[in-house]
Amino acid sequence: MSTTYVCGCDVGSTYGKAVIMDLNGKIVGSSIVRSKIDPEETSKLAIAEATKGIDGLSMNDFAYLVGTGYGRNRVPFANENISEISCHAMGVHITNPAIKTIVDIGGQDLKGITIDENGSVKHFAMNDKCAAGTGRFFEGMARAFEVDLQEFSDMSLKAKEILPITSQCSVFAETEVISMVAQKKNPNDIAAGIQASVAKRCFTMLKSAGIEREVTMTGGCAKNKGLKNALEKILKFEITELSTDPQLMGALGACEFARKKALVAKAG
Amino acid sequence: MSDITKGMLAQAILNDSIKNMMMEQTKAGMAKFKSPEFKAACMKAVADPAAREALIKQLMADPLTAPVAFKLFSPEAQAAMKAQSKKKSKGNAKDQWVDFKYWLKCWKTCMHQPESKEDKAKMKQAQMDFPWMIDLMKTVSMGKRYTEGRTGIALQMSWKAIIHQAAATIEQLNNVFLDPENTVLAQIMVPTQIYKAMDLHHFCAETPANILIMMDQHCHEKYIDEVVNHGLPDDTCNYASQTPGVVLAGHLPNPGTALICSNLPCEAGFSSYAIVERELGIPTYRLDVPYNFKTEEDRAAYVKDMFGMIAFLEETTGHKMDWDKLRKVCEDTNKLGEIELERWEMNRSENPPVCNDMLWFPHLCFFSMDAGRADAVPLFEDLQKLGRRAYMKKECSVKPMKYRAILWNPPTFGYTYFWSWMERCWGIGVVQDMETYGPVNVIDTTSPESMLEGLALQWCNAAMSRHTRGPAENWMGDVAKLTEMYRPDFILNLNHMGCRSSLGLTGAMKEWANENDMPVCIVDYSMYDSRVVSRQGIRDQINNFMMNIMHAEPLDPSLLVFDDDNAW
Ligand code: SF4
Repeated sequence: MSTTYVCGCDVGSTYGKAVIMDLNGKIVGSSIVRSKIDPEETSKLAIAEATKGIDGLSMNDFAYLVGTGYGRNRVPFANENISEISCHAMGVHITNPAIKTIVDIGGQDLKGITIDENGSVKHFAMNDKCAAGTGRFFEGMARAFEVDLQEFSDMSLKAKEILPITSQCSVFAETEVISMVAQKKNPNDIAAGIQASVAKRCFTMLKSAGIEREVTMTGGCAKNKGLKNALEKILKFEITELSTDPQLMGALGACEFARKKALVAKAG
Repeated sequence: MSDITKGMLAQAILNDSIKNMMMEQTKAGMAKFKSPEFKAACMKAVADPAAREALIKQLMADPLTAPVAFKLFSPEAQAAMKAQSKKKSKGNAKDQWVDFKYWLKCWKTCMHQPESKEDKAKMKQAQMDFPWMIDLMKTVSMGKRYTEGRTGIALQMSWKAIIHQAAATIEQLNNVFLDPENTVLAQIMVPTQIYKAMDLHHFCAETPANILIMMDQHCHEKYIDEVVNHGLPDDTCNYASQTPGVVLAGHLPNPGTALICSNLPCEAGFSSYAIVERELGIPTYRLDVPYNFKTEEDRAAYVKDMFGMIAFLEETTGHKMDWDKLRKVCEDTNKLGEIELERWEMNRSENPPVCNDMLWFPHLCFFSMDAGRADAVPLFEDLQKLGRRAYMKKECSVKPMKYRAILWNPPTFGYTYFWSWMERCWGIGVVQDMETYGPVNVIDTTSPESMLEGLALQWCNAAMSRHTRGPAENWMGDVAKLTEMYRPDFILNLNHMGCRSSLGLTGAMKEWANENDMPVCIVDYSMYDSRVVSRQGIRDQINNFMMNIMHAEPLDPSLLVFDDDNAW
């Protein structure tokens, strides 16, 4: 077993993420892979990807490994499982301690999290019951425009006006969008409407958890520039961007927890 | 033949073929189990582990036997069984004996039969007409759920209250079927003391759905569906919508004398009783309790209304009010109140002896559902004695108790494992809850007016009425007061989705919690319908809170996520 490296593995519903650190807290490897049906397979794949390029390091070689994400209980080789809410908080805290509020938009859920000065969760609110306002929702919307996610996320930035989407439910919203497309409405304006409706959902979640500045976004959808823009309009202030990939925050937090555990074990 | 008729015919033939196919399959399965080859393989499997493995594999591979084999032999089912046997064990030999003794007593109570042959026959007929009555037998399993993992004095306290309540429910059933002329149909939350003083029995209309749900956790779903199909909006609070569902399904025994209802706990019940009244067509009295009962005029209005109710009952049933009897009933109620205050006081200590359902359940039964019962006094004295003993020994009812909580909003009626799950998984002890807490007033027994005024105050402050109905200061003010008194680690706010009044106050609760640095766990759920938020959904919300906010370690990680089908 290597006493030099620790790992955090975030098994999400759409992507598996892994971060490897040395005991000084330096990130030495990371990965983002598409989730498989079996969470165990996803975690193995993500860790294998992250270890690439680190000589002589294999799956079972970590001083400590923490699993997180919805599939965390299915990571059999993890030393410990920690809830993704705590991991996101910790990941963000070590990346930028000034941040007090997080909106985390994952593949199938949406969370608002507030954190204290130590990176512990103060409050959280989450929606994991309905797809509206999650990564899945955006995938559906991109499908309706027949563009990829990246393209979709940039469309609203070119909008001239915001065409409101009235349906909250992702299924009905998709139908609404298709009919707007059929009416030859400007796709950029429709996209802006979609982003605005999700931003409103994020805002509700943030309000529920309690908004304190600075605010950041994590999860795959944090890379959606259109959404960030729409949320900033509602918040009326700028959202802080993270220096590390926001999609890795859960895995990074898990890795930080693993590092602390490994240091304690080493000291003891 | 029209297309529709043809379609229906085709559907009927298809349904029949499916049924036949299933019966054929069952027959084939049975034949297989009875075959000499299967018996020989079983004999071999008993002695030889390898043969056992092979047999299980074979059973799992065969589509006829696979469903049963998976339920019995899959790793998940095996793990659940192991967990079940582990969790069912209740302490030492003495605890096991106590548990067994009360379990037997509970059976005896549930099997109770009337004396005369004629009455026995009547009750048998009633069971045929109202099959939900059989659910009462499941009180034993309710007892098992409440006492899961409990030991010592707490175990005795839980069983005692459950058995007493079972006997009270059976008594009500006997009344409505054997003595209907002297029984009135009554909504919960109407001063039951008045019936007692008038020598009237009452049958609580909420029994078939709202109360029996504690015994059979799915018995009520058909009633919710019934009332929604009838046109009541499906987001109506299902506490209030179930009883009309029972009536519409023709499952509510009707003594034919009178119906008494009120606007307590809230207007949701008031409107749903319009359906009950219309469907049953019996003389009805609706008590109209003023919204804000803090002023003297409001209380006077309620007292006037109670006099009206008494006059109505005298006229419709021929029974007369006996004020001396009411005095005795009120004295009993006062005695119960005194004991209750002591129980609450003991829970303020470091080792609260009456947490969770041990606090809530007896209060619900003998303060809110059937207050003024003479036999509730010895029960409460017994519970008080046990509570005192636990208090002196510093024996907390939750072992080990890791977190003190105050539970706000109505608790999970439809999920009776909830309390024991909180204890087993996280060591949570609810030291006070909203349905239990309300100012306990001493009823002044000097005159009819003073007694009715005392009763008015008591019922306005009873379960749900005081808090979920308003004014808002009752809801928030009491949380703040109880927080000071009980020093909880967190507030468990069970946000019953049907309860508009309390849902509207969640924001205020959050703000207050933020200002006072008090963690609050908000659980969205439906009090009576696990089809809205599943039981795992409820547990997940608490798990998330405990892990992320309280940074707690589960006492038993196998209870974090489990299949409710294999409920432990
Ligand atoms: S839970 Fe709320 S809405 Fe339902 S009966 Fe009670 S007070 Fe009324």
